[in-house]
Amino acid sequence: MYFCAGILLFILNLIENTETELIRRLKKGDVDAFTQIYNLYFKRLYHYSLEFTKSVNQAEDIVQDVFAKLWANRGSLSAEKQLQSLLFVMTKNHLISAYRKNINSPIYEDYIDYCNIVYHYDHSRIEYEEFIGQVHKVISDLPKSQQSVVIMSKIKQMSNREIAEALGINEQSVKNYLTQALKVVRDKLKHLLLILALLIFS
Amino acid sequence: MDKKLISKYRTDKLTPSELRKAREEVNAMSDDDLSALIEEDWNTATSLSSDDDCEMKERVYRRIIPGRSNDFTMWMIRIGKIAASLLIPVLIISTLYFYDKFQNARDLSIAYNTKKGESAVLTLPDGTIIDMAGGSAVKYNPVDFENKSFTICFNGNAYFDIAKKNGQTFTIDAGLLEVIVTGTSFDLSSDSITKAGAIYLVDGSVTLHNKGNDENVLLSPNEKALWDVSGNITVSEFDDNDNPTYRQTGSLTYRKAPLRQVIEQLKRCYDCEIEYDHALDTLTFTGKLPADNPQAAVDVLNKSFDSTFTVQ
Repeated sequence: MYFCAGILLFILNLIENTETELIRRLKKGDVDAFTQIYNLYFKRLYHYSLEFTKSVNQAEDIVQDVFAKLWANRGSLSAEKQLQSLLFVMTKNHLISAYRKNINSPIYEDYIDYCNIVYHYDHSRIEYEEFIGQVHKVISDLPKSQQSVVIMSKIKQMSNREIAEALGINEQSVKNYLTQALKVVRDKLKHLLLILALLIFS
Repeated sequence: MDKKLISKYRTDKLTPSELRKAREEVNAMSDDDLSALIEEDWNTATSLSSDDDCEMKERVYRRIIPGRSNDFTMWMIRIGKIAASLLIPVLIISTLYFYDKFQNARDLSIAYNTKKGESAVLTLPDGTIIDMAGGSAVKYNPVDFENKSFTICFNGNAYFDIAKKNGQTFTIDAGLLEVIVTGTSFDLSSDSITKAGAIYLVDGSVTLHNKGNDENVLLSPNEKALWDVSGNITVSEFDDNDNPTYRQTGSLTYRKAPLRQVIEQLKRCYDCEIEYDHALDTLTFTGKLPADNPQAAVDVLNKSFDSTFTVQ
């Protein structure tokens, strides 16, 4: 008797929690359905966003934005779609812009270089966010004039001409500053990060 | 473009040359094409890190749905709070209730019981002496002795020697009747089962108060009062032959007492069973029975009734 009731409850629970049922309930404004979807997909969405943006704060912002949109637009959801693709549609613009930004970033290129160097020594490496932190630290040790040129060039990704206009110096000086500064930065960074990597694994 | 590049980008496993290749391709690609590639990766991505930031998960959730929590422990805390707020008044009310109940139930009474076959002399706080026969019970509250009037409960058979009082009333609750005394000696017998009883007043004066009809009967020395189950009181004088059933002398004296009552009293006094011909129940007995030897008492009955009474 109790066994049958238990099985029945289990089946009812299964039916209740299928994705289509969850979407149907969400469309009606059922907060519990939203909570279940949130608990089901939060982890996947957050980690995927984190891997694309390589920034904890940005990943958190994306997840918040996507789930807030899901809740706000619950009335106009399409019940035929899978939750996974519904969520992707809401996330994709964030992912694309993060992808485009990072893949074009000179610091990310440096980071990939660093990763490949470290990879030869060991499998341990620091995260990109931490790497950026180290880069900023090294840049802040540069003389003031070089510092601003490096920040404009590498972080704000301005062209040499833009930098020259902004600082009121000629383009050749910008090039000179950059060459000097980046050599210092690269050397320091390599030194620092290798020591760091060795320290972690020693 | 190879979708593997995307998954390699996610995990930072691109080589410098792959990065340059990916950069070129991505920069040449429209958002829609890129989106299709990423979706393919999104649907197959499995190597997602396993550590779960619960605090952030809860924080983001609450920004979307304010005033709610998806965290199980938060729910438990909330339920706990509700339960606690419900429990507090329940606890307060029950504390008051049980305190009140126990105050009422706080009974400081002292009870003395004599078993069948034993006798005891008891002195109450006011100096009253009670000589109790077997199977009797006295119950009183010592605090009451400070009051103007007090009551003790009595059941059984005893000789009372009440201490002299100055304006204090002493009441014995003997079931159907109350015996109100002022300073006196008497023999009282009251049976909680048959409800009947008898009092033989030796000295002083007592008032019998019938609780049923509020009737008062005043007894003078050398008077006896008998009452039956309905509370009817018969008062008469008693002479030397008409002794109370139990006295300090330790003998039981009966005058025209129903045999059944005599046997019951013997059984209680000696804590024994007495076998006899129940056809004799309707007869009465007049005479004295020793209160210290059951066999001797039974022998007297044997001779009186010309029948066989045996003590078990």
